Amino acid sequence: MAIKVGTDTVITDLKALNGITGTDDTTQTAINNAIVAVDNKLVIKDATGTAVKTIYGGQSA
Amino acid sequence: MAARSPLYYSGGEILTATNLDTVVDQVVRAYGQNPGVTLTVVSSGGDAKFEMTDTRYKAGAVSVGDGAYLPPGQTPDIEAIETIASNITETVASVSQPAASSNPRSFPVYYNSSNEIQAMTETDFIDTFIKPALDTIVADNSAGEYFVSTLSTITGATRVSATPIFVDTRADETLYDNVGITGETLDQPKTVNSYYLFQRDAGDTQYGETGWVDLMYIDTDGSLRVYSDSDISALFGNYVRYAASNTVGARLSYSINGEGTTKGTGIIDTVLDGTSAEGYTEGGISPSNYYYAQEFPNGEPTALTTYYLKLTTY
Repeated sequence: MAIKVGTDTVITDLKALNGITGTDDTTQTAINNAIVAVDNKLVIKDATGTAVKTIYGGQSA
Repeated sequence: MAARSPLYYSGGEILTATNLDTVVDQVVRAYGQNPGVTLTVVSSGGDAKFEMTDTRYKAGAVSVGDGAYLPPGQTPDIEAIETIASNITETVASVSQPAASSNPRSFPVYYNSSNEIQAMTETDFIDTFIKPALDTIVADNSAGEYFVSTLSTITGATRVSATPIFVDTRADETLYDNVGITGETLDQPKTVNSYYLFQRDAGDTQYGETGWVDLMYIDTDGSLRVYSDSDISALFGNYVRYAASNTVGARLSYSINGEGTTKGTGIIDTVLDGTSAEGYTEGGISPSNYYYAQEFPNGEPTALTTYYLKLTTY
């Protein structure tokens, strides 16, 4: 059974988020941590081997 | 440290370069615009390693026989005249280590063994781009190299000086024809060839040419950026000049008949190959009954020594 806010479906019968217009800080952190937990990352290091940036991304199954 | 396979940006993707020939050509061009090792032509007093000897023969002194010609065995032999040509000096530029060496983000990036993107070290950079360029300068006809020719002008190159680095002289056999009662002038040379030093001009820029790749570096906020043409040109130019004069194994050195690759035509010192006795010539008889004879340079032109301008790394 879908979940609606007013007349808008926000979670479909197939358990998909739908029509979400924003996220609060807690949700952002949760999503970010989930992506980091996958540990699919690109590390950029300088010539000494010091990481200067790490970019996390989703990973295809 | 070792040569790396740098990453480059193309069409929204980061790719690994597998062929750096065009980039290396750009490094060669950068060297040609400001070489770290230069040769100068001087009128005398050049470096010992560039010395060459021009040899020619002159006639022996006239012999005088009382009542008969003296035989060849008693007539003075032809003599060799040796002139040392010392007309080249080599100058190795005094180049400080480029400032880029102190910034660990200066050099192009590559995938390390952990599949991380990492900036090359200075040694990586030299091994990847600079040494191959200097090897190319040694092996091929490349920008900035010096070479030898008998021509006075060559398209794509500049004659260093109108003063030849070597003049091959030889006895002019056509002038030794009359002993008379005074004898021929002993030394009657002619110039066979003059050899000049040239420097090959820098070629066209390689930016955007087929095979060019847009190398990337790490900027101050850790992002990857493509080098501008001027930035990568400066990096190449500074380092190829620095390495040519400072980096062991990459330094350039010219010589005559030393190690390395021949640059230009061989410099041939020719002489006439006839023996002194074969040039024995009977001359006039004076009223006092003196008989004059002389031995002349004679025979066919032959190469006594061939010199080559060589370039090597060390």
